[in-house]
Amino acid sequence: MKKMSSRRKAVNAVVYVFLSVLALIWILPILWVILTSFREETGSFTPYFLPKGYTINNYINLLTDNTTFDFTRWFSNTLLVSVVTCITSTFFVLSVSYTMSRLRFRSRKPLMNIALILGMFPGFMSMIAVYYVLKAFGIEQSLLALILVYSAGTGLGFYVAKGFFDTVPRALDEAAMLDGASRGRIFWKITLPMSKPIIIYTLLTSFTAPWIDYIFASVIMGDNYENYTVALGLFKMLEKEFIHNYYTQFAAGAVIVSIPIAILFISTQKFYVGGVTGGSVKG
Amino acid sequence: MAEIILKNIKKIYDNSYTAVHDFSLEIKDREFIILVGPSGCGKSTTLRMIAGLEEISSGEMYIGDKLVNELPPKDRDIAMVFQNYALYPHMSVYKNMAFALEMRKMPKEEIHKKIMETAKSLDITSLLDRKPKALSGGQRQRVALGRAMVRQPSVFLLDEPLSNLDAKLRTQMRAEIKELHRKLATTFVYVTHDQTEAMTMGDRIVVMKDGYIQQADTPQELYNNPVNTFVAGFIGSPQMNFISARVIGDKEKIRLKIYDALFDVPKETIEKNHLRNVVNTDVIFGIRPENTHLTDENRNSVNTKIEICELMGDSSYIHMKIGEDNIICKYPSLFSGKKGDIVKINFDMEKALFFDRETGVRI
Repeated sequence: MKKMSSRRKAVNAVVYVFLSVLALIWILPILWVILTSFREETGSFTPYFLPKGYTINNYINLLTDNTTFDFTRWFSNTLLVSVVTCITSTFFVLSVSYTMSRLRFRSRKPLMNIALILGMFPGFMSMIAVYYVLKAFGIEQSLLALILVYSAGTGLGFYVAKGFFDTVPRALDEAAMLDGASRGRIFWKITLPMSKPIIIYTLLTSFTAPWIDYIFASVIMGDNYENYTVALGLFKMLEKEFIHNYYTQFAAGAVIVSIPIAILFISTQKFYVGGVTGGSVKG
Repeated sequence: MAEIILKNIKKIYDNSYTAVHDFSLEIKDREFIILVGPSGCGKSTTLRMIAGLEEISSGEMYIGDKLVNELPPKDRDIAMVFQNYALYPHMSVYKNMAFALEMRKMPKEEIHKKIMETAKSLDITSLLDRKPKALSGGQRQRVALGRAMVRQPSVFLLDEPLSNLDAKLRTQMRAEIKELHRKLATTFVYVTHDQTEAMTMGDRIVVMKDGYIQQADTPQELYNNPVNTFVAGFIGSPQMNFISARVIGDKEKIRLKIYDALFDVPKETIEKNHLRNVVNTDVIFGIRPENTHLTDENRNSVNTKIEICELMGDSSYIHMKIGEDNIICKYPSLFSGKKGDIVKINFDMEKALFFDRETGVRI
């Protein structure tokens, strides 16, 4: 017995050391960006880790000086696009997944297979075509175009939510049906209130995707600086003529951009845990 | 009022599996009818067709004179209690009960009045503010019943409502549901795989197997006059003994040969079972464990070997073997025999039933 437990301790020690090293490797870049954002001296490449002087001017300049880079505008652009996309695409995803989980119709299986196969292709394969379609409608380089592009395809990503809905007992739907509720009512009144974890998950992923996307935004926006999102704007700061002066502001921007997402994840964390259907049916 | 008539109902699933064949039954108003059978016999499917949760592939179904084949569940004036209760987990007990009434746009005061009445009669008033997960199994069951009752439906459908409860609670709820049926005076259709529930609760029992009705009759009739070995074996616990035997004799005297022993058969039994038609044929001899006795006499008895004894407290079940056939004898007190002992048994021949060796149908 004793031998077993000492052996176990040794294994645990190795595991902990390994995980600690991994954690450190993960944390370092974040720490470095935060430190850089408070660095007093400019310049992109420094041969040292800890800054020589600290300042919050990087943040102040970033948010107030909009002569070269209008960060606040980009930030509100991104926020607008992300919030609208988040709402519309959550609606799409939940509707499609509920439909696939609950309704039975002839084209259900083929549609699910097509969705699976389409999902295997990277989205940016279609970006040139998407650009021309948008151009045909005369809405290229606009925020509306971004919202459309980000929301339109999200229904394809229904698999996770469908998996969740599949675990909600069918008997609940049937009970509600006998109680006189229509399909729509069952969805809104019975299924959705029980599905907080998956709603939160969907909201988070559909908020984050447009928030951090670079590729589609750069194709659609081109040179329309007014409508840039933060990802485009920040990347702009790294171009040759700006990088020396703006590098620390870039770091400050990176920190600001990550704040909303961090808040979202931390505040919704508790919804992931814990059962949902407790007590409805015998477990 | 609300009798239910099923005419040649059939259920064929998309994968062309036939779950219910040609089901015809008239359920009278206020009747407590029980659908019973082993898993996969089509009893739940039949109930779900009555509820409108499954489409009817062919045949006609009437609830209270109205053809309901195409009628959606909510318009059938039925309520259903599910095996796993299916309470809405995010709503309080009160809301659970109010849901159906709200869907019917009933005024709030009236809903409140109905819920309070129903809750009182089921003794769940103190639970109204709780969520389902804060209830015990028995309480959930009661809430599920209450949710069905508030709507005052003309037909109650119950799908194995007691199978998730422990044995003691099951016995209690059995009596309560029976009492509920008496008080509500509506039609109950009850699905179960438990023959005890069927025997104790139903006015009439429909025994099903492989999608076919085997027999539909009162509990007493099913017990005394089963139409085939399936029904005979399914109803009654422990199950009926089936022993291979041969009817021998001539027009004058008919006797039964069980392995190498000969048994006299009383006249009434011969008449009732039409044994004169099967003279010199192999049959299946069916006899219930309570009509099987240990004996010391050499006449009209047969030797068997003891396999196991189960002590039930007031009695014992002695499991024995003759040749290939297993026999259970219900012994009226504690029995102290060992495995391998040879004992003699005889039977109450007037209670005996006879079945065709090939088809299992009563002779």
